[in-house]
Amino acid sequence: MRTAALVCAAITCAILAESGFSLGSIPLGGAAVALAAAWAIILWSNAFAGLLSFLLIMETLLAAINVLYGTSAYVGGAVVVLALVSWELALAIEPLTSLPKEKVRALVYRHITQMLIVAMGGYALFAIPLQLSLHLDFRVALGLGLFIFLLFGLLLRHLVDRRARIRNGRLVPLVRGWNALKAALAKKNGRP
Amino acid sequence: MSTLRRLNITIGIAIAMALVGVLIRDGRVLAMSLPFLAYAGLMLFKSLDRRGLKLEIDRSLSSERIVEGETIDVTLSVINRGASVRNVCVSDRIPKGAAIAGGEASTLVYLKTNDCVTLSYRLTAQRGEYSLPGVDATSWRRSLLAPQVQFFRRETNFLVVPVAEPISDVEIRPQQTRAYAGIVRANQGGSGIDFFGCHAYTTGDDIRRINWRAYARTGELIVNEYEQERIADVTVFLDARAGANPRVGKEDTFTHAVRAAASVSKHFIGQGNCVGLLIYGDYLNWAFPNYGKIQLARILDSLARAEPADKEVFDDLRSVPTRLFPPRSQLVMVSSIPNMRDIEVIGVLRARGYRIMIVVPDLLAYQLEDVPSGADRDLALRVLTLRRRLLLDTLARIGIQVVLWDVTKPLSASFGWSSSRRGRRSA
Repeated sequence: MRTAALVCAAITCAILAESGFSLGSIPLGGAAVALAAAWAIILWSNAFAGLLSFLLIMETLLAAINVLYGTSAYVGGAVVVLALVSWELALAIEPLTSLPKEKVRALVYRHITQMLIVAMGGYALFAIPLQLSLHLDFRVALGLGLFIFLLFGLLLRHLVDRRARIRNGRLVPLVRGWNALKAALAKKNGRP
Repeated sequence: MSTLRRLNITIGIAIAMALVGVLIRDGRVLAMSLPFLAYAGLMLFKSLDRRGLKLEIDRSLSSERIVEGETIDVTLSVINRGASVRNVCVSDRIPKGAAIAGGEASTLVYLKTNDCVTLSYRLTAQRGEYSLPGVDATSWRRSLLAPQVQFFRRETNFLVVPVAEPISDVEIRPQQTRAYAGIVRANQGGSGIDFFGCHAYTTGDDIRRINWRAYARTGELIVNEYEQERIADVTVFLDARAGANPRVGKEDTFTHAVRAAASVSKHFIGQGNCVGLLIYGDYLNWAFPNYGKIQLARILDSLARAEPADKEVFDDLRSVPTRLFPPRSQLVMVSSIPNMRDIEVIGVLRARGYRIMIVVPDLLAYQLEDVPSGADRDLALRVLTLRRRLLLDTLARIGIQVVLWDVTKPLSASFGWSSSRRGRRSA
């Protein structure tokens, strides 16, 4: 897991550094190199885990600046997705450190595979609206994005309700019984 | 990091990116917020499928009271009383100061309903009172994303008492002793082993004690007297003021002081004396004087819990409650750095008839450990030695028995040297 996180972080920082230097900005490229060093130190020493979120924010910020200065948006998107994957993998190490490696190996491989699939999905989610925004006016694209976000929210709410219904299903006879009792009491001590 | 915190961070970044994208009217930056939103949505979706774990925890210890350096066997059994969980990491929370000496305190298992998992491990710890608070259970459904972390409280306490080193050749001479036979010389004539004096024969004296040589010389019957041996009241006084127990590098002066107090207490109780303990620092932690193994256990328990404290009321020894000490008894003070104000109070105690012995743990070897050798180091060593010698000579002059314990050596060596130069400073 640590190796996978380090590889993802290294690719992220390499892309950031390359795009920074190719833009002609030594500070942007240097910052990416510094971030790579910070990642290596944190993952190697297994300390300063609190700084991982800061590294994620810095990588996202650098990617956004690079994109604004002329780097391809697809490259920026790839950086963001990879940064997110490396952050997630690095955080997933923490609860597994005390366990023997052979016990968690299968779980770790499954998680890495799932994260890579999720990353590809995330990148597709990034690329499709980007293509749309290039072909549509900004306001139309924003409106469409908000509409999709609304649909996403509704879907999530539906899922939450469904799960809650399933979980509380066992209480249905109890509630029905209680309602029947209330109705019976309302009819003058059980008499109609 | 908890799932909620991860959600907060990713949603925060997504909102920030979206706001910047809207403000600068740039679809590319806006689109960069989407992966974060997708990740947050996925985590939210994963965390919806949560049913609380229902675990029954039971923990047993091989002993609830161990001596520093020993290990304690812990057996933890976890029974799942809820639905089956595919991946659950059960981890016993180890308190600070304790360490695992063998075995495993955590495991990853597939727990079906009513399944039981047992963990066995050995713990070692420094002196103190410990509490194993409970078990952390982290469960994952299918992937490591959005773990569900629960804490199950199950407190088990154990005590690690200080090591009491065996010491010998400690001689005390309190002015007042108890009526029961012991091995402390009572400064009174009677039956005993050591010669005390002579007196004229009177009716009832044992004729086996008649000094026939004196009779041959004087023509009068003279009887030998021997010094009575009794048990005595001994109060061990542990100086737990933070100012008097500095840390020297990695070494904690107070740890050595506690060890010395434990050794002295064990020695005097072993001799049959009536021993009490006063820990002076945080509050007046007083173990009433008594005899026997139970009293030793009581004293060691108090010492295990002792911590240095910085209270203004106990800034100097003026607040020592002398009424707690039996009159004209033996006091054994364990103090790392007695200062001049303390010496004044110790002098007053001495004047009131108490016999006082001071055990001073000496960390000079550690103090100059990191200083490179050279003229400066030698000068520092000289200054420190002279200051200490001045202080201890002052104590010796007012009749205090001083035992300077070089902590790199066994305590018994310092006591042996001290008793050979009774009433004077050792080393």
